[in-house]
Amino acid sequence: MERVSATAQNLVLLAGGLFFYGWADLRFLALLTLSAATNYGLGLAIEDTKSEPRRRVWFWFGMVFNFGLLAYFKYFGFFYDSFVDLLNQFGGHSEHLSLKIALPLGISFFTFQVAGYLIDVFNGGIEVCRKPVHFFTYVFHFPKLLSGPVERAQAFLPRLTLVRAFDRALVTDGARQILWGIFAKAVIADNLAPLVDRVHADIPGSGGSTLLLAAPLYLIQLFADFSGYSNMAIGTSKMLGIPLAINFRGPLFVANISEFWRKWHISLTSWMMDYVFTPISFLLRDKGRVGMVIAIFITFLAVGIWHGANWTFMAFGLVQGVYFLPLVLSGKVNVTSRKDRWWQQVPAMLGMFVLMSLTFVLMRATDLSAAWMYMQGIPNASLFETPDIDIWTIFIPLFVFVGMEWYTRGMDHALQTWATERHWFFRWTSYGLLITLILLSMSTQEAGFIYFQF
Amino acid sequence: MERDLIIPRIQKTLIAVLGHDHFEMRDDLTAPDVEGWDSLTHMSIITGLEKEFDVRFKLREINKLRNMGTLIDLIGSKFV
Amino acid sequence: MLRFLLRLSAFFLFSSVVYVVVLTFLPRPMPYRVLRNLNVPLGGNGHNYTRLQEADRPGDPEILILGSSSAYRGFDPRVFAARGYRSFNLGSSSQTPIQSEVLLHRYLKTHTPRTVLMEVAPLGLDLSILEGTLDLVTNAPVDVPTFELVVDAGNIRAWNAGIHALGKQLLWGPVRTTEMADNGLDRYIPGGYVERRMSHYSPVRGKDEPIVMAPEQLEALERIKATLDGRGIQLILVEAPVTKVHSSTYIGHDRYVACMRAIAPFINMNGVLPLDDSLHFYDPFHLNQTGVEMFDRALLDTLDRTGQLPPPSLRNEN
Repeated sequence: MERVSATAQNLVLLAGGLFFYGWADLRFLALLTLSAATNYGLGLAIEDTKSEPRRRVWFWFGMVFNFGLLAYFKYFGFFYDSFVDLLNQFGGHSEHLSLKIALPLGISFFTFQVAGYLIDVFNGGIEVCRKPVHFFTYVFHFPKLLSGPVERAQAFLPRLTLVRAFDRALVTDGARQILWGIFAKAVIADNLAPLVDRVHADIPGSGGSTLLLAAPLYLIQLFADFSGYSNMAIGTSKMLGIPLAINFRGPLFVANISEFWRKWHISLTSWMMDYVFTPISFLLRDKGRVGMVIAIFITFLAVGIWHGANWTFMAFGLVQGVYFLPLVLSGKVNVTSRKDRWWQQVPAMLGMFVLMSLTFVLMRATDLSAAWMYMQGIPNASLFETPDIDIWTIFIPLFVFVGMEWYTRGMDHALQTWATERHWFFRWTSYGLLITLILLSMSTQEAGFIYFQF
Repeated sequence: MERDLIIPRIQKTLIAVLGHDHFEMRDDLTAPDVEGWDSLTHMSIITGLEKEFDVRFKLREINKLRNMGTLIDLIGSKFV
Repeated sequence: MLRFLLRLSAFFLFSSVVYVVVLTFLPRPMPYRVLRNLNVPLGGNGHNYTRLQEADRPGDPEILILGSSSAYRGFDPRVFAARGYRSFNLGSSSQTPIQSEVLLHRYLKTHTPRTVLMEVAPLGLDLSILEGTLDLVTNAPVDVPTFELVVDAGNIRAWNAGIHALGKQLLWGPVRTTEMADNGLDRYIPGGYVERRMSHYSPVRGKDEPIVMAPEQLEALERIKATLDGRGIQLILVEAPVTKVHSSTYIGHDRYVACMRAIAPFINMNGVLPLDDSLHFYDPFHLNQTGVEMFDRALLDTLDRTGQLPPPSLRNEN
């Protein structure tokens, strides 16, 4: 009684994805299509080649191809500039060429998905995808195309073989998720952005208390921006019958660093864990804790560099590695967090929140010296002045946002189970109030998503 | 080696690494079902198992693990 | 799926009701900037509430003044009265022709001026109608033309303020407030004028700005002209003085003048008087009281010379 085949549905999705990307960034549509075709072919070659050395050749060719493409677009200018700086340090007289290589939108997300696919095929983690329509649909699925989540082939491809039928529960859940995403993005992130931007534009002129308040505001801004985008993307895909990976699960309320990274940008972190941390720690498993420390540092350096070519991102990764040291050295990584009552965890959560707020200054600062100046500006007599940030216009929405995120911190998204057991009148009223709050507080200027550029 | 002999020894290793026994040794048990079994502890568990059974795994074998059942089979295959 | 779509439509209808109810019951005005998109300038800058209340009272001025803040801060009815003219100033903050038209129609229902002086600022003819609309929808009773301004503004802030005002009006009647005639900075002068206590300005030149004339604004001017012609009322467009530093940023002024002339008699009072940026202004666009009196007398002289003024109704004793 199936009138539509999965392949036909996939073709529609694929056409939508190609159109979507072409609309967002027509210049690079051909490049991404070519790359997708190459990866499709490489998957088949790795799977079908019997000789082990040749399989390796195909595999490593794929790695060099994918990460080479990424490196060219994203990192070439940076390495070039750093090299010139180095020469000049030693008395050279090289000039900086202004190398402006346009970055194909979403290339970081794209690369990690296809590279992960090749690794899985090579390791036998998944079966190779033989249907080009399925593969291209996976790569070009439009909700996740520009800014994630980083979807795993092993989770995504099997869904494409099934016919999707209209599922009211899934569609309403997707719609709720989109609503929460819009609130986070349009109200919280976009209203916090100008407040934070103003402080970072004039770090020397900002007092200690202003800097100290702007740090957590940026962490909340980034969380609202990216989780808001993720929720809109995941919700949209859900409505089309394809649930995506979870990307955030209450990362503002965590008791230690390892918990933070299990809840922040989950699709990226778990990619890094599976494809960077696991192989390295496996190779170094006889070295005990030293091996573990090395693997963690390399993994988080990779997380930092993934965000872009800037020393601030590398410093960010290094610092994350340092934060893991106490856990690893005390052997506590292995010990399950006790089932404390939530209020027993509050001091640790507050500590982590402050620590991560200060660390994420590295993500926002334009360069290392700006970040350093920021830190130096905090312990200062001006720490006891009233912060020069007009937080009142955003106070009510911020209260609702943080409150709801706290209340639903174990959920996939804040509205997942919100009032679903209650009378429809209560439920609809609460959604109506949220929509009203959005209309009364959303930022009215055009704003871009922070994570598109990564 | 018999599955019945392997299972208690895996369980013992898990308890030693994770510090609790709040899990059931079913074939369809997966890491996310077990409190504290995440990417970081995964490698400690693997090395713990290597010591316990005195075997060496390959990375590809680790990557193919899906649940407790496949883990038991993998260890069993080392003693064929 | 059909049932779902029906439910979804029902939900959006329900949400709209929630939105309207919440807005209706939110206090007016809201405590300072708690909700950034509910900007309700009640009794705000420019004494618009007091002015609109006065406009509704019977009176027989022969000259009606329309326009932006340069109008209600630039055309002093006391100077007009000294020459024997009863005048009323219906200017309001950021008023553009689209809003002037609404105010004019309301005014003409109860009054019959013989001349309309309309201040048309070169940079006030684009489509930034949000600020003027918020001012009107908040301080005047909401009627169909006012609500059309809300729709035209096409901005969530206009909608919020419009629904807020309309809901309150339906439940509790037209807006009522008390506006201090003298708030220390500004003083309201009967006749619609607002006198500013500042007297000095240090000129700073801004960026060059092209003069944008939106077709919608020009059409509103044409309609105003046609309405007034139909009633035998003469329309005179006036470009009021601004600082030299400001007018030097205009790009395309000639085209603006040509456009205005094509619609109605146009008098350019900018740059023709010996006004000094520091001594006769208090900001780039607004004359201080000394400057206003010089400007108004010169304007009346010009109108007199060209025979464009109606006969004065007030007997001047001197």
